[in-house]
Amino acid sequence: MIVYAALMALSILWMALVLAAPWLMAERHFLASAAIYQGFSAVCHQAPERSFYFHGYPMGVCSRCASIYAGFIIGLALYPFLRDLREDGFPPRWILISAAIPTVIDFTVGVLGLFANTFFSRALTGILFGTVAAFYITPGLVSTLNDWLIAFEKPKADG
Amino acid sequence: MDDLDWKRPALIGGLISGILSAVPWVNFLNVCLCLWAWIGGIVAAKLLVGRAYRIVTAKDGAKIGLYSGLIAGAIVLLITMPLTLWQMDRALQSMIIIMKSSPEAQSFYVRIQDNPTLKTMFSFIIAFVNSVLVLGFTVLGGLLGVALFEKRRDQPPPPQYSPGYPPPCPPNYPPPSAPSAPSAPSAPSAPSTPSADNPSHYPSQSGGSGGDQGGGPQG
Repeated sequence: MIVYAALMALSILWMALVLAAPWLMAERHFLASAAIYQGFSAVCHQAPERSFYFHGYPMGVCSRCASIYAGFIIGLALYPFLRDLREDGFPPRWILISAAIPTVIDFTVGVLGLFANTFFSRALTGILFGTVAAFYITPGLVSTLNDWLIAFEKPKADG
Repeated sequence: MDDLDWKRPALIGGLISGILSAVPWVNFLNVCLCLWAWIGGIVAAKLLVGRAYRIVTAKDGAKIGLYSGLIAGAIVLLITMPLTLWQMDRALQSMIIIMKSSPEAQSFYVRIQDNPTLKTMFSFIIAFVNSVLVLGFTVLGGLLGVALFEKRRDQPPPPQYSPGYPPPCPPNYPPPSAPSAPSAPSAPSAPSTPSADNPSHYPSQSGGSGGDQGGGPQG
């Protein structure tokens, strides 16, 4: 449970960083804000016209990425109600593939110019994918961190 | 945990993730949620699953992702730092465009452009953050790779043998001559039905023509 709480805290911290970039900019902490913006530039195009705004500035990542991260937190919050935290297995993989398909379609048709995707479509498909992905990522992270915690506590107990 | 071959999958996954995330132009695909890092982690997991003779767990996925991510992170740090410093003007220019609504912020970035020390420090921070992000997403790729490619978890587990099974042969087995043993097996060399289920469980015996005990529990 501690490991799960730590994972949840880490995810919220990650989302907070996405929000911190524009907030720090609005508060005129330019260097800190720029470091976060540039850090996230490695994982997102950060196009202002495709980003949600916070305090008058674009978020650290685009609307699709922000939605995936938000979805991951939602999935993480739902996880203990739907699955046992001690279980080291995944749900069937077709669920993950099915959840990724809307995002892939929304992205592809946008790139091909078949129709322009919207903030709503990007947010909806991103949240869906992020929520489902949490159910595949959480078991491994929880069990790995749990093992590390036990390995870390064992020498202390022996000593 | 040393029963799996970690090195090769971790190296290949790390190289894919690291080099493709660091090479200019190619790394453009990383704007899709760090795509190369995901792919590197997934490839590493796929290779691990393909080489493993046991079920690869989610924990193994995280571990192979971490190993690959460490390699990838080091590559990204080494390649990205000089490149970032070289391309800093372009990066700052993009920041100036993002901050078009704030002239004050724009003037701040112009000041960084004019200060070499600040520019070097800033490029190191960016390269470090990039390498940490690549590491993190490669771990997630490893986890998803196991979820996608490990199909054996849907099958029942193989039978577990106790440590003492099969029992060792007596020292003088087969006896040089069987004078009176009516209930003994008629001939040790007589082949029973070849057992195909996991022959690796049977230790090889010296001169072991009679190693096969028939594949069933004795007594």
